[in-house]
Amino acid sequence: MNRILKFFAFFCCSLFLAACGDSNTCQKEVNTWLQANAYEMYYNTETEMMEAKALSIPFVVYGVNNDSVLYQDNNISAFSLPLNKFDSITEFVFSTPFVQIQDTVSDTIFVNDTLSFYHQNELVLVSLECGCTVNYTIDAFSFTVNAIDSVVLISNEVQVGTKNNFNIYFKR
Amino acid sequence: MKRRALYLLLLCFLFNSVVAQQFTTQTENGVTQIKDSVEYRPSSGGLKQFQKPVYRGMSLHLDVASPIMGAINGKVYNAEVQIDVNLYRRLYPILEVGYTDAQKTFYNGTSFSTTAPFFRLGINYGLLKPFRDNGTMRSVKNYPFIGVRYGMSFMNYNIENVTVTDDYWGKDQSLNYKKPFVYSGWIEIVGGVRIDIYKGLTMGWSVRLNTALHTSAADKSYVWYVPGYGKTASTAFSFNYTIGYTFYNDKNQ
Repeated sequence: MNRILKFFAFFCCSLFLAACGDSNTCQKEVNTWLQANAYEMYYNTETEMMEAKALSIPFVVYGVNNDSVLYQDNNISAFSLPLNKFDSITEFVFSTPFVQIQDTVSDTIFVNDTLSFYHQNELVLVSLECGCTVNYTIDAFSFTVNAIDSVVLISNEVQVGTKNNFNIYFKR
Repeated sequence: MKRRALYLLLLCFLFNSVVAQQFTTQTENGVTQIKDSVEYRPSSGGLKQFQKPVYRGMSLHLDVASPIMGAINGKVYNAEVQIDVNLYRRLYPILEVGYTDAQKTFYNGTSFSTTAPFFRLGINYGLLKPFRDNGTMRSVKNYPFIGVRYGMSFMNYNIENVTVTDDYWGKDQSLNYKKPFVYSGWIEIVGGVRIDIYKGLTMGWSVRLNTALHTSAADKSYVWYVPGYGKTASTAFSFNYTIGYTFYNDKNQ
């Protein structure tokens, strides 16, 4: 009988310790971002070729028809952009300083380019606490070439954890 | 804190219920007489604990704790009955049938609701030997037990007001999901006590560890609560306190 008592005491204590409360808050990342790397083109006199290096100038990025600036005066070469969750077209404006030389006088002006993405959206329920996340598939993109030299799509799947979706190269 | 107080109460009840058993012996004129015993069998090597007749009775119990536990956990309403059969005064095959209505609203406004029956099929093993080592029969009306169950629930659930917000582009949308049929199954490990209070009126309690949950839902995280199992996100522990009646086939048990 003592052995039985000890067994039940241990059994109840173990279940008591196991009955920890569960968390009602979201423990997962649900926001998806378009991941990008920015480069600037320069002429390598040694190789006599145009090459790319990490962008070293500040630039401004904001959404078309949106007053909120995403990046401003940030000296960064890697950044994230939010795609539209409820539309299949998302457009961004890149405003970069451009040195203009005229009659031996240099002047810095800001040149705007528009980068457009055409994508499909998929709403996925992550959990009851976290709600939904949106997975995107980029079908196509287009851009103006005022200051942008080129854009290369690395991965057209935009999900939580995606490392790099596109590279953007600026003229210098 | 509420849970800790409840568990301590359970332990107290455990000790009280064990002390309530009375297996006293008296020795008179060299002859050993055993209370609550019907038959004396001389000790013999190899006496088996499983003696005929096989069928010794059946019990019908109503769980009175799960409605209280469900109310403590939120808007969870449970009702459950247990039917078990006494075999050899050692084995107790059991069927448990219940019904659950559960609702939950999360901090982000999302709500979950389910209403469904559940079933558990299993067996209990009494920890008291029907015969002592000296061959005398022991009354097994009050006994501790351990057991195992396979539980199942055929449930439907609704998820409402899942809000998707686009903070930058300035839109939001509310979604609802409805799943008409989902099967869930699990395994339970049970330990408890059954006490005969008065001429067949029986009370008992059990603690359960629910594990090995498997479901036909697309993702287990979509199902906040499985009827009969409990919350899917945490270690599933449950407690039952039952009141019922035992129909003894052998009145001298």
